[in-house]
Amino acid sequence: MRQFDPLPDDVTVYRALLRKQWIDEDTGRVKADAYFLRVNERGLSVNLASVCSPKQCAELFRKCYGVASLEVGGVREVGLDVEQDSVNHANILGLPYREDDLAEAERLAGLLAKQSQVAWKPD
Amino acid sequence: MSLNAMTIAQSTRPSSSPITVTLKRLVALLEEDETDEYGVLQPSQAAFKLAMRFVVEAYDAMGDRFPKASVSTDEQGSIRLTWSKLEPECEVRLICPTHADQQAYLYHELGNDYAVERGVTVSILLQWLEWLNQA
Repeated sequence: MRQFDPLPDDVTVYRALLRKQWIDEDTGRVKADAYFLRVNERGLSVNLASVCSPKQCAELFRKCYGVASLEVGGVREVGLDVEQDSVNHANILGLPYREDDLAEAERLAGLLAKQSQVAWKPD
Repeated sequence: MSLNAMTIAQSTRPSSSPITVTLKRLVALLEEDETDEYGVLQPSQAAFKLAMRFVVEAYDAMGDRFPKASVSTDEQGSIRLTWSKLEPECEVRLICPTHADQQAYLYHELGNDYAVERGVTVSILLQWLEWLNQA
């Protein structure tokens, strides 16, 4: 049974950019690299902007090179979903593993990257 | 291969030329920590050798038409090279796998058209880099 209500489309979520190479050095845009599902991962980890700032999101990790923001409605527009699983956390669901569908995994990672805005970068 | 790469890196190419920047970015991956919170960070030897071979051979064929790539590793040590263009928005991604017995693949996208090419060769990479240049 779901513990949390479905997130409205206008909710913003943050994705921590754990590698500096996930941000294109030339354009400053987030790359698809930030949005691949790893083996044994059910979904992509994101934090809810309503309960944590981008900087607080970054501080949850040992090293964080930026925080990308995404709108839940935009994620749903590409056929994925965002499901809340704790007070401050949610998962982007519906991405295929690269091992199962390479083209779709690459395509969807790119679509999520295009929707991403860099909300925070370290000084 | 490594001699070619060194020759290019040390040649009269300006330090901001696409091939020099791409090679420097690849070499910089080797200087990263072995792992990070996300997984393997440093590329495997197989991935690095293959990526260098693709880049150097593509540059040999394309010369100054060779576009600058952005590089990264995935969580298993494969190398991802991304060539992108903003107008029109299109992208070519080459993935050089962690292990020598795995196949490299290439992903290309323009608007809603996208596909993956498996078993990539230098000539396939050249074809898609020229496609990107002409898009």
